[in-house]
Amino acid sequence: MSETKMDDIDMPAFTGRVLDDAGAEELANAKDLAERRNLYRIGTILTAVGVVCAGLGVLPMLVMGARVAIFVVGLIALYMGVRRLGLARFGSDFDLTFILSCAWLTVLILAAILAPLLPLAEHEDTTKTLAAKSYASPSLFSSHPLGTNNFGLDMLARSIYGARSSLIVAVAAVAIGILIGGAIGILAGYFGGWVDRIVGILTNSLLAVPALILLIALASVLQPNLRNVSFALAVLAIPSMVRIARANTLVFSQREFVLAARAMGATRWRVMLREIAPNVALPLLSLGMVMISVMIVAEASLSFLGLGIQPPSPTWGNMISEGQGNVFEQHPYIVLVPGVFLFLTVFAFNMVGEKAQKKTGGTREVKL
Amino acid sequence: MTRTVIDKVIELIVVLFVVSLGTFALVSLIPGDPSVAMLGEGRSPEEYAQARADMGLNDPFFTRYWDWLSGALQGDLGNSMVPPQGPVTDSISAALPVSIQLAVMGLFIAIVVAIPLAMYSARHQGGWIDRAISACTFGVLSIPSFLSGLLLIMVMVNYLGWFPRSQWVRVSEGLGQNLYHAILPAITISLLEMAMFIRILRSDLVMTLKENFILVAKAKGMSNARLLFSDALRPSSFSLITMLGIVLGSMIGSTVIVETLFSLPGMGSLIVRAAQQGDMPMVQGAVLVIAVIYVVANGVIDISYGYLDPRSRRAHV
Amino acid sequence: MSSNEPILTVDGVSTRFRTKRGQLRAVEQVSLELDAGETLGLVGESGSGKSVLGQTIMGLVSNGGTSTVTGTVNFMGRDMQGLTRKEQQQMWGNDIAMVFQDPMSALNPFKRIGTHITESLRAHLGLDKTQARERAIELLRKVRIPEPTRRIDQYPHELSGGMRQRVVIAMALACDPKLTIADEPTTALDVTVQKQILELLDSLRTEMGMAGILVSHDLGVVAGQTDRVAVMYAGRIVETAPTRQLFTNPRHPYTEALLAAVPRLEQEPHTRLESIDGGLPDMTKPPTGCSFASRCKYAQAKCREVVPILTASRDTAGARHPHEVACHFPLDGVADLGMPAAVGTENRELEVETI
Repeated sequence: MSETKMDDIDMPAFTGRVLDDAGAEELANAKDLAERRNLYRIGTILTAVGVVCAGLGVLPMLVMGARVAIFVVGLIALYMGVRRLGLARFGSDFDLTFILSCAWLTVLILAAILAPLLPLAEHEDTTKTLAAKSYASPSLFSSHPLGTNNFGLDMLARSIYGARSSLIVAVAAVAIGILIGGAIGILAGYFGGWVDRIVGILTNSLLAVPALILLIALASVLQPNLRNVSFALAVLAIPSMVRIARANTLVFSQREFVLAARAMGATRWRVMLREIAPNVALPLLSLGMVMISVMIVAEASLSFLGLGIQPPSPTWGNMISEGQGNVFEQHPYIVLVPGVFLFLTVFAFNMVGEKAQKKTGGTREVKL
Repeated sequence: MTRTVIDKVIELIVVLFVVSLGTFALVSLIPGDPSVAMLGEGRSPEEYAQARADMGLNDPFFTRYWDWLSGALQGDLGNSMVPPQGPVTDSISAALPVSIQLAVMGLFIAIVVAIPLAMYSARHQGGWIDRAISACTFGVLSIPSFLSGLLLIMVMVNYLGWFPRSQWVRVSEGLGQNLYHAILPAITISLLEMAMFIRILRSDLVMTLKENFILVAKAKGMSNARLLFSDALRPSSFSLITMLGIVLGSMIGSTVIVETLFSLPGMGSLIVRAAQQGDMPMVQGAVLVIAVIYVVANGVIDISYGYLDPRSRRAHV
Repeated sequence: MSSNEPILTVDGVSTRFRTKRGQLRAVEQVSLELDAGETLGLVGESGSGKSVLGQTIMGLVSNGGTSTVTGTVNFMGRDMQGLTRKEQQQMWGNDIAMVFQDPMSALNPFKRIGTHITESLRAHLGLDKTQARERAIELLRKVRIPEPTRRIDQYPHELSGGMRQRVVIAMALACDPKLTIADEPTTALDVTVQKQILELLDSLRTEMGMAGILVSHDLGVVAGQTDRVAVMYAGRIVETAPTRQLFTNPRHPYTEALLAAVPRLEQEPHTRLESIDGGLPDMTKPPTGCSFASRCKYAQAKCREVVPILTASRDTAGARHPHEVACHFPLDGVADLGMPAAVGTENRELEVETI
């Protein structure tokens, strides 16, 4: 996604190996002044077009279909325009998608944290909405900007509180996974021998059950609440963390600074805590970043199946499941609102996670 | 070579044992008294005691485990606790073919679409189509299967009316109808896998194309098409095979969700329903069967990897 | 094409690459000629541009994308830089072939040895399966691979490095090209195997009447196998002469230094080898004047200001391939190779060939 290099359109004519140590590397983008000016010009035009079209789409003037189309075109033009402006101003390292992702996440996380303080309508107590209109269509400037569901609960509020649940669960699961998985991995890597063997077998056994199946099995015995869902997801995260921690421990325990610490009389526990753990932490955190989006999807799937957080407590998964059957046909926004929130959040986390991985060069684990 | 195969098989069996143990032990996590769950409240203590004895709960843990396991190995996974309380094995054998068909179809669609797209992308690296495909795959990977399923239903079923909403027609009742009902769910399943395959294959092809032997072949006067198909595809397809193992897990997850979404009578719906109803024997049986299939499939992929790479096939100097 | 016309003419070729640090000038204003059946050695240290020159001649590096090529390369009357992709496909492997450096990575590990050879035979010469296979076996025999009928069906990992390089040579010669460019064909091999490969290349070339360009950083490799040698430094040719003349009568300080740095059997044990201080200049910011000036022990003021041009030395001026030097103050007379006492010219040649 982030490849903006322009390689030869034909296949590359040479490999670095065959050249004499020429040190040739990637193309320098947009260095020339002429190209810059061009980017500025096109960028400004596109941005203007984008704003105009998006604006037209928002105003309730035309037919729904045309509005949506113009709005989308406007957004695309806006994106392309701003991107070119950014490239011109900041050089080829400018990544608009990444910036937008960070922006979205910041807004979302802030909204989730501050939710009780925000002027939101009712999101889960159905007794309070007896008088409210059910299935209100979204209209941006009304009291229910994103509509209401069949109990009259406000969709915007539910989405934000849903973000709260999803984020808490995901972060908690990843945190527990890092702590417990990391600890187990370090122990296995450091002590080796039968400790390592047993940990290996247990890890492989956990990984032998496909992710969602494991979650469903756990959900069948545990009460569906926030704590248990986090616990179940943590179980999912632990094996990968164990593997990374163990692999890195094996690498680091050979290094000199560990030997030096031992030579100075440090106990094994001290070594593990002070020397190895800090070094293992970085790859773990890097994997954790990537895992957050996986956890969010996992929690959403579980809730969608009715095995996670139960309605009326909102989470994007169970909000979407409300739209099954005919509801989706008649009131598409019931599914689309949480759907868009879910998509944007997962997308943004993926984007950030990928950048983090590039910076730290970690390994990927694709799951669920 | 055979030594490693045997090692892997042994490891497989050990893992399966542990999984079965874990699955069995799952029941112990249930809070409360199972006999109360089964009979309901307000019975006499004797009835509860009797129910517990009937369920074999008075025996020590490992005896129960061994009974269950030996039964399982002979094909008896107990009876469902939910009416009609038929044998678990029967339900599973009725549901399994459905899931397998869906999974295989999904995989097929994913591969058939992924290979040409990945090859085109690798060939025209950096071109606008390549970037568009890259953006799309990244986007698809961010959409969970239930969401994409619902969206597909919205468009294909409600809006366009091309496909039926749900229901399953067995192959025995007509292949055409069967495929007609299966295709939309299969497409939904294939989406995530397709996106993953395209990304992995493209990146692997790009790396292979940088290899020296590609340059040598080009200097020999081989055409671009030839270089792509004949020289680059073979080495790169290994990443696909490696991916299969990883993708399998996510595919099983997608299958579960899609079956629930489309109300199809496969293993997915089976296990979800059982979990919702607290039908432990069914959950245990289903988890065991799925785990066995998954582990064996991964094992096969692992082993075949060794056979497919000519470099490891015959060790020579 | 008359037999007096050179088969290859390189005229004022410069190759530059666009890199993050700026324009990298890999080859600067190189001109040379090659007759049919002649072998030219291209010598220089790593980074001197010799490999890039070889690839530019072939057309593997051409104008477009990150590379800029100026000047003309004329091979058999065709402009190698202006070929379409289709024309490249026709010529490469057929009329002009390249032998690459690393036999380990030059062969596709998933293809059998035979397929490597037969695919170009079938693509260029239109042979059918059986004919191609027979010819491939014949070629393997020619490059002196034992048991060719068994080897032809094997995979690259089943062959040793030396054998793989023979296969690479067989691949290059399969369609009887008029010119072979061999880029460091022996660098990745053991010394004992090196000699065999070089002799093989030489005998094949004579047998098939091929012209050849042998690129190497190793003077010993070039000494016995070439008719003429061109010495490259920092992208330019600094000296070119018939091989014998170059070794007995080097005129450029760089060539002299190169020759002095090679150990010889006749020298006293523990004789200090003269290495050349310093390194190649940064080719994204080439210095004014002669590129070698900073390392040259004879450098004078003029050398740092004016770039020397390749000129024929007076005594060989009229010859077909004169002894040319790009130096303001070329060395005269016999070089001091660090040898004790005066030895006859013939002896020196002998030494040269047993490097």
